[in-house]
Amino acid sequence: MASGFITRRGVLGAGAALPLIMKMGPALAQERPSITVAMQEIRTEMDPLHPRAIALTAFRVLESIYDKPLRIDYDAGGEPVPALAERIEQVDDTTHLMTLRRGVLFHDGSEMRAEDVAFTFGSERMRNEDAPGYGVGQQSLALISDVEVVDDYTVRITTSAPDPIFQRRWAGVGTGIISRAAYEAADDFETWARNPIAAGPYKVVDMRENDFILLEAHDDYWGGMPPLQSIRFQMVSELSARIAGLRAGDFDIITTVSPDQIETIEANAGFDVVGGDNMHFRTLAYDVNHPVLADPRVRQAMNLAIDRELIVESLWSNRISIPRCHQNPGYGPLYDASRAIPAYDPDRARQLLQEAGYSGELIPFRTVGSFYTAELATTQVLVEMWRAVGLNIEIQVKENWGQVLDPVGRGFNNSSDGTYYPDPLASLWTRWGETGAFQSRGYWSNEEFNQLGKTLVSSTDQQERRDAFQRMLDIWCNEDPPGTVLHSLGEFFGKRADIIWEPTQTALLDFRPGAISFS
Amino acid sequence: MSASPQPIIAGPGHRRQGERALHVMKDAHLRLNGLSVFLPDDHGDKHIVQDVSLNVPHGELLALIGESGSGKSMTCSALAGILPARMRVQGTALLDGVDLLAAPQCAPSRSSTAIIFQNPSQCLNPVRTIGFQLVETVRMHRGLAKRQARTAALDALSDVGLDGPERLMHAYPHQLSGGMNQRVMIALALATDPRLLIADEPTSSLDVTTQRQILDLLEDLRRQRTMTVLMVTHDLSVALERADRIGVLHDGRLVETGKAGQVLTAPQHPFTRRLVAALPKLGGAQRSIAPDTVGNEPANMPQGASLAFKGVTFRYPQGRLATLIGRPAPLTVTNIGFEIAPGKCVGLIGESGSGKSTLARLALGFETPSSGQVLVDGKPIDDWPRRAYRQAVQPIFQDPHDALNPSLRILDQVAEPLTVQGLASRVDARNQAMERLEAVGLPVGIASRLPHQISGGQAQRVVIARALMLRPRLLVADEAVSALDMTVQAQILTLLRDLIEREGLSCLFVSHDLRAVSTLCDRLVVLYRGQVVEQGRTEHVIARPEHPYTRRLLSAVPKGRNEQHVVTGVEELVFR
Amino acid sequence: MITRYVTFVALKIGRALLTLLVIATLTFMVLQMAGDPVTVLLGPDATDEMIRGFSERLGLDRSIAAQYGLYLANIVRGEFGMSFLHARDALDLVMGHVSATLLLSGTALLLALAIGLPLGAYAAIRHGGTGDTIAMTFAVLGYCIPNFFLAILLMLLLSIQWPLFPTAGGETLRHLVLPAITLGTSAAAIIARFTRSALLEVLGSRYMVAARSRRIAPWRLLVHHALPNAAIPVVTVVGFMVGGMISGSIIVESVFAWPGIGNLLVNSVANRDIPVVQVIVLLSGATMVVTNLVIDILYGWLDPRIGRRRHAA
Repeated sequence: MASGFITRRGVLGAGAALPLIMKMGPALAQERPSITVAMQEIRTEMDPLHPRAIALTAFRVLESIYDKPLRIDYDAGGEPVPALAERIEQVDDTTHLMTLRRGVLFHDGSEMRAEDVAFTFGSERMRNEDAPGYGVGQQSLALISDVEVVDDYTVRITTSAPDPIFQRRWAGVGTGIISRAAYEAADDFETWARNPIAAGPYKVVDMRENDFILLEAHDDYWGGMPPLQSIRFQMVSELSARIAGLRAGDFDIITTVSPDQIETIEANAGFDVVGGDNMHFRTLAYDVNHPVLADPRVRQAMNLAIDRELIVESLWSNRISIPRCHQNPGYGPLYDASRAIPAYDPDRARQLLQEAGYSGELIPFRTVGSFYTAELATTQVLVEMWRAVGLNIEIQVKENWGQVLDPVGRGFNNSSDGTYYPDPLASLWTRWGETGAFQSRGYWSNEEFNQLGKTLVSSTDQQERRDAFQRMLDIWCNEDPPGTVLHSLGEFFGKRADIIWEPTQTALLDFRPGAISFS
Repeated sequence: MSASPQPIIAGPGHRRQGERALHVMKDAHLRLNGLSVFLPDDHGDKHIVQDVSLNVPHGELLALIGESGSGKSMTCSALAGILPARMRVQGTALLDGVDLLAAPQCAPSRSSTAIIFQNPSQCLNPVRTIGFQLVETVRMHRGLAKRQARTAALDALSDVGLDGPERLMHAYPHQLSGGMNQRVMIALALATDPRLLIADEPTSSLDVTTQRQILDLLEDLRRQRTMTVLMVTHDLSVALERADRIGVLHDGRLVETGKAGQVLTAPQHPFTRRLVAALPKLGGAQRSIAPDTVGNEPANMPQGASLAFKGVTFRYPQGRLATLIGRPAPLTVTNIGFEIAPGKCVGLIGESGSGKSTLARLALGFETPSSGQVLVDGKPIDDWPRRAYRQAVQPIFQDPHDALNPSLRILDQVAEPLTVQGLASRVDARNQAMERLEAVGLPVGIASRLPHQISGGQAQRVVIARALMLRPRLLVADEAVSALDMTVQAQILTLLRDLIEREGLSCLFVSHDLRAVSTLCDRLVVLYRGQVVEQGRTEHVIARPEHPYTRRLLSAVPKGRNEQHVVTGVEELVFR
Repeated sequence: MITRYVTFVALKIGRALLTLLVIATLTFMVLQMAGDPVTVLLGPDATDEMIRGFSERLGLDRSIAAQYGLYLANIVRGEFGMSFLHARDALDLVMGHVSATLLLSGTALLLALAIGLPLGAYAAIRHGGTGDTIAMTFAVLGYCIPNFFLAILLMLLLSIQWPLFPTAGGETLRHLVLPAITLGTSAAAIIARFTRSALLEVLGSRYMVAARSRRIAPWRLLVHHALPNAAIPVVTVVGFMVGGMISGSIIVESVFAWPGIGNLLVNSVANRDIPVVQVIVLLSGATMVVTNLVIDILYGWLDPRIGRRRHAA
C-alpha cells in the first residue's frame, strides 16, 4: 500500500537529515544574509484559509510562514515526504492516524501538539459553515469529517468517504498548521491573519497593506536554522520598477518577469533569470451557454486552430512546455506520457466549423489584459489564429475579474488552473469538477465527466483512477472541450546571480534550509 | 482750489507776458536736439519719434499735442528713462546742460525729472499702501530715516491738496478715486524734487471737474516751484488753456511749435489746422435739424421709438453672500424721470459714478428697475418679446475693440446679426453689410481685415454699422466717443448725427463730455449722484444752467482761448 | 458683523459638506456599477461558496439601497466601515498611509517651489534672452515628460548608473529623494511657467513703469513691487497643487513602491473596496475644500482689493 511506503521513507528521511542541519545552525547564524523580494502584489491576509489568501502571490509568502504535515519531494518523483507529521497510517478506508513530529516549536516558542492540529482543521476555524475558513477548506479538505486528539502527538482523522489521495492532501494548500492558543488569543480572524503563529521557517514581524511583509528567521525551526536572517516581500507593481530595483541592488529577487525582459536582465552578468515551466496550466475557459459555443465542434475547432508551439516559441523563447492535455508528469502512475500535446490542424478546424454550420457569428473573448504573463500578446495572437480558420472573435478587455466572470454576454475568457500538489484532484477536478469553479459558475457541465470524477475522488485503486482520469481527459480535451490548455503557466524570476536558488515546481518561493545559498 | 478766482479767463494773458520776460533773461531750461526714438530692425529702423528739437524756458509749460501714435508718449518715456528695452534713442536732451539721455537710469542727474501718467489708478502698485510707496520714494531720493521720510510723505500729500494725509497713508490705491490717485502720483513725483515734470496725458481719464482741479494743481505747483513742465495731451483745448507753448507732433515729427495763441490763431501746418477746426464748440452749434417739429421723418424710414423713464429707482441686487461679507451697495439711481420723443436724441451727462451707465443698462434691458418703469414705445421692456427688443434697441459702447470679435473679419462681424438671427442668407447679409460699411464712411478695403488691423475710429464705425444692420429704432450710446482722438471724435459725432437724422432714429447718448453731448443732442439730462438735477433743451441748459452742479460742469469745460466765440455761438442759437 | 461672519462661514462649510456628500454618493454609484465587489475581491479562483461566505461577512448580501443608507449613516457618525479587502477600519487604514503621501507630496511641492519660483522669476527678468529660453525649455520638458518615464529615467541614472538612492520603499529619507524629484519636476515646471507669465504681466504693468521712473532700485522693484503682485496667480496654482496632494502622487508612489495612499487607492479601486475608496475620495475632497478656504484667506492678505476693506476714502 502506498501510504505504508511513504511512512517508512518519511521516518528515514527525517532521521537522516536532522542532525546534519542542526550542526550547521550556529555557524550560519553569524553571517546570515537578509533579502528583499519584489512582487507585483502582496496580500497581507496570511492565514491559508482566508479567502484573500488563495492567490499565487499569497502562496509565495505563506510558503515561508507555514509548514504542513507533509511536503512533496519533486526530486523524488513527486512523492509526499514527512514534514510536521512523522507518519500517516491508514486504519481503515475512512480513518487515518497522523503521528506528529516531536519538538516542533511554533513562532512563539510553544510546542506543537495534537490539539493544535485538531484545531487547525476543526469546526471552529474550518468545518462549520460559518467558520472563516469554511469556503477555502471546502476546496481541498471537504472530505474531512473529524480530527480528534488521540494523545499529545497523535490525531485521528476521519473522512466522509475513502480518499485516494489522502496523503498528498496534507502537502497541499490550506494545510499549514497553526497554534491554537495564539489563534484563540487574537481578537478576530482578520487580526489573526495579519500576524499568524505557525511552524514555518520564518515568522511575521511587520507588514503593511499594499506595501510590504517582513519575515524574520524562526531560529527554533524544526528543520534547522533558516538560511536567511529576514525576508522582506516588497510590493512593486510595475515590472520596470522591479527590474530597475534589482539592477540597483535594492531587490535580490523579483517575481513575474515577462519573457521579453529576460534578455534585458541577463545582459548584466550580475543577474540572471530562473523559473519557467511549472505545474500550473494556462488555459482558456469556454461558456457553452453561448449560442455558438454550445456546439462542441466549434470548441474543438477553436482548439485545433491554435498553434501552441508557435506561441511558446515566439512569446516565450521556448522556455516553457506544452502539457500533454491537462496532466503533469508529477501525477506519477496517473500520467500518460504517450498522450499527444493538443493538435494544431487548421484544415480540420475549418471542416468542423463548416459541419457545425458556423457562419461568422461574433464570439466575445474577455480578458483583463495583463493578469497573466504576456496575456495581451497571447490574446491577440490567438485571435489572429482563429481568424485564419474563419472564426470571428472579439476581444473585450475588462477592468477586473468580476466583469470577466459576469455571466451576461459571456463567451470565453483567459484563465489558469493552479496545481499545488501533483494529482488531478488538485487541479482538473477542483477547477472543472462538479463543485469546481467553472461548473458552479455555469460555464459547462458533462454528465460522464462528473461520474468519472467520482471514481477519481473515491477510488483507491490506482489503475481504476488512471483509467477514469484518462477518460476524463478525452472528454475535456477532445470530445466536449470546455476550454483548452495553451501551455504551462510560465513564471520567471529575476535574481542576483550569486544567489543560488530556484522557484518550486509550483512556482512558489522556498527559503527553507538547503533551498537557498550564496556563492 | 485755485488761488486765482478766475484763472481761465484772467490767467493766460498775464502769465504769458510775465514769462516772456523770464525767457529773455535765461537760456532755455530743457533743450531737445535731434531726439529720435526708434525700434532697431534688420530691414531698416522703425522710427517712432524722429528728429525732434525744441527748447523750453525755465518754469514754462510746454504742451505736446498730437493724435495717438504720433510719438508723444515715447518722447516722454525717452526723457524719463523708461523706454521699453528694445527701443533705441538718438540725439540729446539737455536739462540744465546735462544730457538726460546719456545718463544711466540710476544717475543722480536723473533725479531732476519726474513723470506722471494717464490712468493714475493703474500707475500705483495695487498691493502696497500709498504710504509705503511714498515713504519708499522719499527715502530713495533724499536718504531720510524712516520717521523723517514719513513726515516728508505726509507733507507731500498735503502739498497736493489731499485731506487727511494720515489716513491716506494706510489706504490702497483702489480705495481712492482717479483724481485722488493722480494727486498721489503728483505727490510721488514731487517727492523726488524734480526740476522737470513730465505729465503724460495727466487728465485724460478723469471727468471734467476733476480734470480741471488737477490742471489747477499742476499750475500752482509749477509756479511755487518754478518747475518746467512738459505736458502731453491729445486735447487741444486743454493745451490752449494751460500751456505757454505748444508743440504739435504728427507721425513722430514735430510739425509745429510756438506760443499757444500763435498756434491757435495762425496754425501753419495742415494737420494743426485740422486740429483747430475739429475743436467742438459748446452748445450744439453744428446741429442743423429743426428741433421739436413733428412729422418730418422720411416716410419710408423706420420710425424711432420713444423711451421713457418713469420714476425709476434701481439698486443693484445684492447677493446674500455679498451682503454677508459686507460688500458696499453699488451705485444706485433714484426716481429718474425723463423722455425721449421718437426721432429725438437726448444727452445724458454727469460725472463718473453719477449713474449714467446704469441708466443705459436699464434702457438696454440688461437690468430691471427696482421700482418705476422703463417704457419703450409706451410698453414696459418686460412686455416686449425679448428678440424684438434686442433688434429694436442697439447699444454702442466706449471701447469699440472690446465690442468686436478679434478673430472675425470686419465684413462678417457686420453681417453677423443678420445671419445669426436667420434674417438673411449669408450672401444677402454680406451685401447689406457692405452697404452699411460704405454708409458709415469706411473704405471698401477694410471689409476683409481683422479688428486689430484697424484704428479705434474705424472700429467704432464698424460697431455703428453693425448696430444699424438690424434696423434698430433706438440707439443707446454709452460714452461712444470718449476713447477716441479729438479729430476722430468729431467725425464720429457727425456720422452719428447724420445717421440719426437720415434713419429717423431715437438716441440716448451717454457721456461725461459736455461738448460731445451738446453737438449731438436735442435735449440734455443732467445726472448728479443718481438723480436728475436738470433737464431741458440743450441750448437752454447751456445758456441758463439752473442747478449749481450744471454750472460747475459748464465752467469746468476747457474752453481754450476762443471762449468768447463759443459763447457768442450759443447766444446766436438761443436767440434764433 | 460677527453674526454675519459666522453665517458666512457656516454657509461655506455647509456648501463644502454638500460637495463631499455628492462626491461620496457619486463614488458609491460608480463603484457599484462597475461590478460585484466580492467577485472582484476574491479573484478568479474563488468558488461560489467562498463568495457567499465573504459577502455575508461584509454585509454585501443586502440590497444596494440598504448598503447606501447604512453607508451614509456611518459617514455622518464618522464611521467609514471596514475595508472589504483588509478587514480593518477603513479610516485607520487610510490614515496609516496618508502621512507618507503627505510627506512625499509636501517635499515635492517644496522642491517645486524652490526650483519653480526662482526659475520663473529668472526667466521673466531675462525675458526673450537665452536664459529665458533655457529656463522655459526646461519647464516645457519638465511638464511634458510623463511621470512614469521620468521615474524610470531617474532610477537608471541615480540608482543603477550611480547608485546614490534606492529605487523602492519608504523607510529612510534617502527613499524620498527620487519620488520627490519625479513628482516635483512637473510641478516645478508648472510653477515656473506661471511665475514667469505672472511676473511678466506685472513687470509690464503701468505701476512698474511708474515705479521705475521714480528710480526705485531694481532689487527693490522686484522684491517689494513685482513679486507681491505676481504671487496672486501663483498662489492659485500652488493651491490647486496642495488640494490635489492626496491623489496626485498615485503613479509615482506605485513606481517607487512608496508606502503612501497611491497603491492603496489603486488596489482599492481595482478591488472595489468601497469603504477605502470613499475615505480617500472624501479626504481628497476635504483637502480641496480646506485648501480653497485657505487660498481665499491668503488672497485677502496678498491683494487688498479682495476681501479686506479699510480706510475707504
